[in-house]
Amino acid sequence: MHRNFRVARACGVEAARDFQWNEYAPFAWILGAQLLFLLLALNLGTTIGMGTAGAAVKLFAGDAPLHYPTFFLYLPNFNSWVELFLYTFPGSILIPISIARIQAPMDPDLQGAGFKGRVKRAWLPTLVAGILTLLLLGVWQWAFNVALVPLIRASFPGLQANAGIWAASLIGAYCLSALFLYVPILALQPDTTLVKALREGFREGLRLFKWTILYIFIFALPALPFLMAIQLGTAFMAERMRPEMIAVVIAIYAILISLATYLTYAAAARLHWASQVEEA
Amino acid sequence: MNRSPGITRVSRSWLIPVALTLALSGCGDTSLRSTRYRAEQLLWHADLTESAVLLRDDYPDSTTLLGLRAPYLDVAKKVEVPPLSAATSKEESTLAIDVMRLVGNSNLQAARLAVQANRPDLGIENMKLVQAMAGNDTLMLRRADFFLVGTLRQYKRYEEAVALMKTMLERYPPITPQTSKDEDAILAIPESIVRLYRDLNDSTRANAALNDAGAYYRRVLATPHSPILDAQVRARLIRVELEQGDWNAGLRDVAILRRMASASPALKDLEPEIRYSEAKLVMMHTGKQNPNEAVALFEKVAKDFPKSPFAGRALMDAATVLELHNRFPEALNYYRQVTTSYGNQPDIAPPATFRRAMLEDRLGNWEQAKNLLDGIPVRYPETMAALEAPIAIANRYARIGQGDAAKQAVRKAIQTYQGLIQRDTTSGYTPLYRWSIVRCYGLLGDDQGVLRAVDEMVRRDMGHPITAQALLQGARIAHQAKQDDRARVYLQNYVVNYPTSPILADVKKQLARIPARGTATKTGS
Repeated sequence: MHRNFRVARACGVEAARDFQWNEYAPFAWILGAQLLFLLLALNLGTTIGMGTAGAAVKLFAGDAPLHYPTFFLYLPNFNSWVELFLYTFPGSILIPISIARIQAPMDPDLQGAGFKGRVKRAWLPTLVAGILTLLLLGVWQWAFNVALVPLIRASFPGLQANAGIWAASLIGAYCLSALFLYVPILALQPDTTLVKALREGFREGLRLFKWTILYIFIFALPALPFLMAIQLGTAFMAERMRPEMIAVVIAIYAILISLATYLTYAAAARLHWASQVEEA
Repeated sequence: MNRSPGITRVSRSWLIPVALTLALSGCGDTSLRSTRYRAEQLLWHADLTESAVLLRDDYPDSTTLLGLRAPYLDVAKKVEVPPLSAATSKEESTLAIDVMRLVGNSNLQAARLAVQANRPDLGIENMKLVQAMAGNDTLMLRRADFFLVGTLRQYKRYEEAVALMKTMLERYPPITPQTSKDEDAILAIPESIVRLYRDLNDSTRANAALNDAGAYYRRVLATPHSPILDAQVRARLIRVELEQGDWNAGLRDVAILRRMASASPALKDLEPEIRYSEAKLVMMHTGKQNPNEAVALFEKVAKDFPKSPFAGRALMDAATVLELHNRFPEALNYYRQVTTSYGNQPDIAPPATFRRAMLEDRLGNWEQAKNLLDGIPVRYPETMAALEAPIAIANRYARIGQGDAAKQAVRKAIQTYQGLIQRDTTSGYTPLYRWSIVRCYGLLGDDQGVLRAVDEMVRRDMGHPITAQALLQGARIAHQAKQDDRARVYLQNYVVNYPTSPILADVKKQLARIPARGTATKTGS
């Protein structure tokens, strides 16, 4: 146990200390797209802003949110859709690229000709894992709203109940993500198949669950106050400050969570490698 | 950065189609939608600026208020209203109207601030801009017109206000409401004109306006409308007929309204009004001989619909008819119910409190009566009851022979009226408060005080019907005090400012009788 903890800690510390722009770049692309959306959303008063971010919003929610300052109250929701879309679809290619670069020093084949082929094989399992995570998150959110939310509301007063619901919902979502976190890592292994990557990735997620969830929470910690502000304090920000403040807070959150996601994958990839070496 | 070749493919496979989809889905009305968003943004920030200033200072000075107009005017400067004719689809047309209304609203906000800053000229200019911009958009035109009427009334340009209200009745046919609880504000205009003349103490024109109101409602009823609008117009017509004392017409219209209400469940909200009107008609018919039947009906209205505005009115009418029959304790009981249960109903609570005080005094409870009278100007400042209550205290002391107490009460009344003027210097009631001060100085026998108060009215309230009376009173007292020059100025002012007065010929004769002498005393007019 103590040894495992020392290994997990060493992997986490090394992931943070050995931060490489080259490895982070694919996540930076996702972040760039997210920030571009926010920038366009901040400029709905221009034709380009309304023709892009505004049109995307209109496509899903109609004209009603396209008013000032109402738009900013909807923005956290729209941003989470954009975030889910980016991490699931473009992410199914970009995340394996980043993990391959992280694993390259430990796996010489990834430094050369093998890189392209293995990344090509990894995108489908990563996409399926992403979609599965989305579906499970949807089921979790529904079950949580039906079963747990009324219970929490009945047990705690207003503000405490809101904070409790937010925390419980977040813990559930992070736990689900942790289960599928190793799918892209396993999908990059040589001679893997879609089913094998999903099965082995899920098994690895279960086996290293407690360390993975620890990584997720520790790396996401700086982003959590901003997430809480976005999810619980939008009305306050719109009324007492300026509606545009919501977009700024979302942007800060997006940057921090992008770094946290990279570091979590970097630490998890190292932990997986270390456990494999240990087993061998 | 070590760029992967995969990225180029990613942009081809995802980003380009996504960007194309987004761009194409936003085509057409995108520019209008972004203009609307920009207008909303500018208007919101103008509101925010105003709120921030008002948080620091509840009563900003006129320079600050005029400064606050700038962000509102910026909306009109920075947002170009798209021509409605250029719209090629219904959605584009709706968006163009939205933009026009936002710019119009910002102009109306600028007008409001100009009026608050005592610059009605700037305000009226803004409102006229809105009228010009609105084109055929009735909603915007109506909003601008209502705002203009309010401004004209505030600045005592009553004739212009009435003229505008009359044109509004011609231009805007009443709109059918969704439910019987909503009512088009246009329907209230005829009665507003009546109330305006009553506030001016001009009963002749008030009665003429009442006749016009009846004629307008009948004209509206002559064209077919939805049952809800028809019922609302007929209910207003019945109110006019009751005020005119036209029992036969009232009875006929109440019967029609009753039939309409029983035929349509959507009109069930009219039941309290119908029942109240029926009770009132009974009062008009049999109330002079025996009030019991009418009182029972009024009481039933109040009991069956305690939350309706007609409940308080019914109790008030029951009290009035009982008081006319000298059944004071019963009347007092009803007045007490009105003042305790409907004390926030502005049309009945002030007169009910005043009448209650009169009856409390009559039944030997002067302390209670005095407390009520003292409280009226504080609780109901802009009402006829607030005008009468302070003088009623003095009259009571005079009636029982307590001369000193009466004089003290008159002095206190003057202070009360001055306080009411200070409270809101632009209120429509200020001429009436000043006239009450004239009356108080008259009661004290203070001629100089009367003349000072008349001078103040000449300075501030010229054109108001009550100022005509003040000029005549001032001329009489100035003449008695051998200040003929001053009397002459008062009468000359009367001749110039009240050319349509029915007693103009008498005033001219009176003016001719005053001998021309030296230089006129300065009146400040």
